[in-house]
Amino acid sequence: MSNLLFLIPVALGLGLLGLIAFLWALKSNQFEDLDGAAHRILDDEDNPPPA
Amino acid sequence: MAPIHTQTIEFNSSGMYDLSLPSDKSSSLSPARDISLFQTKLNDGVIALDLIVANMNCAGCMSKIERHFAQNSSLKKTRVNLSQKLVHFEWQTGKTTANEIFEELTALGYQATPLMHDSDLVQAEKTEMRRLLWCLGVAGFAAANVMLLSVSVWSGATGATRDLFHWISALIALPAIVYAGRPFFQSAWFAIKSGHMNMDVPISLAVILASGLSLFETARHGEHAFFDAALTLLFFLLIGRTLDRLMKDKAFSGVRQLLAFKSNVAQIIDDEGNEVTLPISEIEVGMRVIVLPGGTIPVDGEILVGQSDIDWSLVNGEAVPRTAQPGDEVFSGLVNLSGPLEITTTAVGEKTLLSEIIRLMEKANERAPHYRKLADRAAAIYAPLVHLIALLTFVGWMLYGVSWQGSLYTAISVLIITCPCALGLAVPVVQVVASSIAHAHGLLMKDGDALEKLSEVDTVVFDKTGTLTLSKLSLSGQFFKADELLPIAVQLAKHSLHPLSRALVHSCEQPGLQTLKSEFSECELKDIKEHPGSGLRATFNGGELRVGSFDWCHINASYSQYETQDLMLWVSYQTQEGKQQIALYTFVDELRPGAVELISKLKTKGIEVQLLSGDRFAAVERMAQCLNIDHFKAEMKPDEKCRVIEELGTSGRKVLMVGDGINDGPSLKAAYVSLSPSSASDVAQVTANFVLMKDGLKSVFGLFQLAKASRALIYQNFGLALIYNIIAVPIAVFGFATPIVAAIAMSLSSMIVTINALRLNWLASSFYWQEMSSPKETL
Repeated sequence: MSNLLFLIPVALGLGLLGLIAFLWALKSNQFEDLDGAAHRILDDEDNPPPA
Repeated sequence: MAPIHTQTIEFNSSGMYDLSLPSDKSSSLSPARDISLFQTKLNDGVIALDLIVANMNCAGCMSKIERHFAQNSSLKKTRVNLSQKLVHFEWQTGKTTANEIFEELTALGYQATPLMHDSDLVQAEKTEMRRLLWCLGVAGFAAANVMLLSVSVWSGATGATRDLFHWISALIALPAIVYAGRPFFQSAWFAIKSGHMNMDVPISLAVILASGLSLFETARHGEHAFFDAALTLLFFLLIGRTLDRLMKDKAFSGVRQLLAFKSNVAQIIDDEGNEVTLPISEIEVGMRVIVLPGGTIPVDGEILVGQSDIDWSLVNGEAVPRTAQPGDEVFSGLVNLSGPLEITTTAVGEKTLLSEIIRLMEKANERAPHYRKLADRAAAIYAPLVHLIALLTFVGWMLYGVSWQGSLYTAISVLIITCPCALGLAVPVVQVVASSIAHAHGLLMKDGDALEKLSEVDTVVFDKTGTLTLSKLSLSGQFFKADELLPIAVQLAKHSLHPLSRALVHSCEQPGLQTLKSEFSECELKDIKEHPGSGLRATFNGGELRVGSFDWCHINASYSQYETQDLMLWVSYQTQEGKQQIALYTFVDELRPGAVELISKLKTKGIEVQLLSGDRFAAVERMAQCLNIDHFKAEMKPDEKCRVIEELGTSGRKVLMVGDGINDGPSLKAAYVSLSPSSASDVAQVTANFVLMKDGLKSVFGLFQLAKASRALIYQNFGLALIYNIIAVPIAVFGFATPIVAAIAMSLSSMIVTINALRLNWLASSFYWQEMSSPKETL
């Protein structure tokens, strides 16, 4: 029983972390350009354009 | 704000103007635009500009643009958004100007168009999407965590441990349900208030009752809590809702991109005689507007100076341009072809032809019967039935002698397990899959209802010019000294924007004709003049070359028997010695690729095809015969077209209207469902349910098949939901529906309908779509 006292908060905390990460990504426009992001990572020129 | 084009136009007394074009032909002929009208001011003197780049398709374009502008030190930021085909620029005030950036991007070879500032409507759409995603995130988090606790309960937690788990579940679930359930609760509330029944009513009821019951059970140390079921339900349904929204947003941004290509500024001459660029909305009655050849007339007005040929095709469907002179009336939406015009504005806002059309459209909209979505129609039967079963369950168990709490518990579990999770998901998933298939084949679908409606269509009404044809002329015949005179005639025709001249030039660029050589191949034309409404003239080898109408070319009257149709271009060359050589070229309005196949396919499916056009009778009759269309009407005014469509509607027909002109606006609205090509007027594109992004018409039949297949899948999904209920309801009614049964049943049914919807992808591969490139057909 005493294990639960910290396991449940840990589980909830991890879930909450995921939720916050999702909402942060949403807020910082990470989902605005899905195609561009997919291609950008393949672009291996020496001088990447400044974001 | 300084205008970017400083080209001056001098009219001489005869209305002729000198055609000494500057080297960069395209920019001088396109209507002037001040790009700085589209920039926005950010904080600290930073200015931002968004440009839509239509021909930016790949990662290569993206890095090319970003690298190019990265070298430009005056810019603070350049960011490409490949999904939306947007480039975002930011710079410090004074470092550079919007027009410079625009021209730099154009010089790189990209067709850029400034993005209009987001209106309140666009902002509202964006917030709506964001709100749904927040709800989805919260519901997903809560559902996962509550499920974790529920699994512990199902695997044997008892007593105080179970109570603790239930309380923690309640703590997570209740706020999450209040937050993430709002889209459904609000919609359900509106529906009840206006006396309707939609799918959100049973959903909301089930979620609220499940949470209430579970809280009650938790408080009295009960064995079963349905928090997980309520949350999973919300989560699945929110996925459906978000997909639905995503589809609408995509179509909306597609339409926005199309509209951005239309000019929304005009050049006016102010009191001091300077040219100023103004947004169309700021033009007042009495202002003098300049329209260059190739430009769209932005206002209703009267011609003050200049002579030109005017393309009326978007306004009334006429394929042949009309000549316009000072004193003639012109309307916004007409295209100026051959000479610069100065126009006095006679009407703005409410009084223009366009507003008249919009009023007609509003009227048509009021009369159009209200369409009820398939899902809502299903809900209208489903919801009362389910609620009745729940009530009977409650009464039944009470009569059997069970306590009211026990009876209520069973009744609510009936509601939970019958909640139309599969139904709520079935329709949007099918529509999203269908919409992405349609999009891949060049068809933009604005809303899911349109697809449902399309599957019921039994009559298709086409407009002629611009819809069945490309509004592009092609050479159909050449007579007399056609071969010899062609090279010089083409050279001269290159100096005009008149459709016949352009068609002549275009016909020469086709492979096979290029080898044509004659004694005139190496020639030099001098003193080129265009006389709007008549033709072109030039001096050549000491003689005179004329291209244009029969009279303009001084053709001998004995040839007048050949003057049989409108789309003819005469050429005459009078040598120094006075010898005349003549040639005649005839043209036809080019059919859209796939038009013939589409119409014959529609007919074999028993769908009636009609042709309604504003063009002259002879042209419409010829087109109807050629395409084998039995029902056609010519010289139709916008309100007459609209009336024909309404009459078809009242006689029980479900009409698909396909049209492109401003004059088609009211009929597109009056029709059951509508489609317009991407070359259409703004009015048509905004109104139509579907927009055809490619030239080919064949895909329209594919769209029909897609609509039918989608409808079949939606019905199948309803059927699957029914089977699920036939199994699940007795289990619930007899009190065996524990939370674990509800969770498994719900997830399973959702997955089955989703997988069934995805079948559309491989069904669609065998449909009748337009090939990427097809041979040209001519009438």
